[in-house]
Amino acid sequence: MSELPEMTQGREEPTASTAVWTLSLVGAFAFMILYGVLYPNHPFPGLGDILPLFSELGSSVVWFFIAGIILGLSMLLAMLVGESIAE
Amino acid sequence: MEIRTLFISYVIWLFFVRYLTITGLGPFGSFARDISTFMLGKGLGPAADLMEDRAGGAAKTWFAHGIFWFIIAATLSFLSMWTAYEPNALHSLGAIGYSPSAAQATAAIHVVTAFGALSMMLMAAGFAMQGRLAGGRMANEATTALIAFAWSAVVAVGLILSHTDLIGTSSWFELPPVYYILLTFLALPLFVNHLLTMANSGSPVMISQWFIVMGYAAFIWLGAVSMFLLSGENHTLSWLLVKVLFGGWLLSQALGIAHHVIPSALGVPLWSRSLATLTLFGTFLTFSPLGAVASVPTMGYFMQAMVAILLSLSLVPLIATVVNLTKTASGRVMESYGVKFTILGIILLIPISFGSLFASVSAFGGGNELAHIAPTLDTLALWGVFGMIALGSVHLLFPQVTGRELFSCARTKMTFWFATVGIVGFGTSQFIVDYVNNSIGAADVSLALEEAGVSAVGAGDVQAFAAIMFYGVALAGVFAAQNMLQGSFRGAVLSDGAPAPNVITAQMAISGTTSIRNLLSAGAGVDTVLTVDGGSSEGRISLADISPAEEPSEEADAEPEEEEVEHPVVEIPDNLPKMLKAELVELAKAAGVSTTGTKSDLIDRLSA
Repeated sequence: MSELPEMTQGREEPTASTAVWTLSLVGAFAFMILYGVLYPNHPFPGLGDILPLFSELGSSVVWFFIAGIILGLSMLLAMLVGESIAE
Repeated sequence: MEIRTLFISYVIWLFFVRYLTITGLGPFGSFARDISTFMLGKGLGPAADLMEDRAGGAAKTWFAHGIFWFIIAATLSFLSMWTAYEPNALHSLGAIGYSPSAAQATAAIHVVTAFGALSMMLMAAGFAMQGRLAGGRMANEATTALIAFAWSAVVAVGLILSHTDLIGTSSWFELPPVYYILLTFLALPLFVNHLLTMANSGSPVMISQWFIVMGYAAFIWLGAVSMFLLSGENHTLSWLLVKVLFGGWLLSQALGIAHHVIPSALGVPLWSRSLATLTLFGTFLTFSPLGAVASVPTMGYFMQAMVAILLSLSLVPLIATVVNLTKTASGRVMESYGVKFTILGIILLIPISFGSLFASVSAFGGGNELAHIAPTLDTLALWGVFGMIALGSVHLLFPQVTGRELFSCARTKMTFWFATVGIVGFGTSQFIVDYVNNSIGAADVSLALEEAGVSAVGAGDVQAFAAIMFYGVALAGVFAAQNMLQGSFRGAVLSDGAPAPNVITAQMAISGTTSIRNLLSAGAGVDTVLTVDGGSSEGRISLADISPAEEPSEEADAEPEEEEVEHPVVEIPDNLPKMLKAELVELAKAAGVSTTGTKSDLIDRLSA
């Protein structure tokens, strides 16, 4: 009878794991695009409500740049909160 | 008021500050020191206890606020460039009440960039540097950190005010003059703190400290003199204020940082002492060419000639700086990202200064023929020179004040390349846009095009390219901020804050008294040859030859051996990750290892 180790969660981070979650993300996005291709008249639930928001904001490319900055600032905030809690 | 009178008052004020600094608050003596120390500390009452009075705490807080405003300022600048290409891009924000005019958007960028982002980051670097050169800490860290919050609040108020009808026409000083007095009031205790720190340390004042202190003096003068704008539109005064803002304040702070970062990071002294002194005096006693957008429509021939001479003479300290710092870092620029950023900023100073010089001379009572490129030159001076030097200080001085390295080297590289490509790409493409638009907009060209029935498309697409390039600077700010934040929590602990001395034949001239800390901060290593001039004894000594002032007696030697504590053998349990941090700290104490750092650090240390 084998004994379970005391800690079941390791601390190792193999390089391949990064590739796995990147591929997972790409796969998820691919599915969303595929859904739009297969069912052009049925907007993707949830996401379909978000995407038109950009066109309503003025259909300018500048919003994607602004979104990048907002994402960067959000990551900063998340890091600040995360690191403070971790401490 | 005449420009001559104002400039003379500026020079007299600077010499007075220099006298105060040399004499250690001179005529006011110990009373001034005591009252200043009290006002910066207990005089604030309960507010003084809001922040921890820890070495480096002030610089860390100012860096954090500065990098936040850096991202905001770069984003606003990017949006301004984009709306030059696509004026209706942000019109949808009018639904929530945000529809600034071009003048309001420019005023917002000016206040956030000059007084928020760059001022705060350079001031942070100044605190870090001053603390390091003057015995490890500023005279008061807690109040200085507290003022960072007040300064940020004032910048935020300025950002809001710039979107109202309160803005004026004075370039770079669009807000009501009272606003700049507020900033001066906040700068005053910081200036006193610098003076106190230097007076308390008793070490000789180094060139970089001079730049910082004199820069504060210029800033305080700036706020007070801006009140004259209340008496109405005054082109000459506006022009002088812009020149002091760029040259006396931002440039002097940036040069002070650069003169510290490069020698400190590489462990070598400055190449030339006389060039550094020339830079110091030249920076404050000439008119900076930077701030090219300021103009005076009409001016007498004599004043025009005087100003043109003083503007041209400003190239002397700038060229001296570039030569001195590049020679100091010669062949070793790649060793540190702090040095890379700084050297890039310093090198960009030359072309930007030359361009700004032509624009400034023609703008002072002349035809202002280069007005179309002046805003681009100012943007390049702000982000290409001051911004780069500020980022350089982040990569060298921020780790020193937090005691931890920046988190990721890859992110540091990304910051460098995004900022570099962004600045260079923006500069080249924006100049193309400026010249094309200026040519097409000329009266005779417009007439000829109209007669030929041709409509010119302009340089719209290139304008979009310039904006996208500048977006890299905003991203560089985001990467730097992430690196700083994560580094301050989880970066590798700095084993020794002293610079790495790997130069064999470096030499350094010192006079009066100094400490080993000051020598190390200035880039001395164990093999640095010190040439002592002045004082009771003269000669050449090496740090390696320095022996303690008093040899300890044999009894004293024997005592520690007898009292040598042997750490008890502690059994390290296997379930370290499950233990609480407090338990790990106790265990670390018992095992005789360091108790600092995160839980993960403690586990690593105990497991080793």
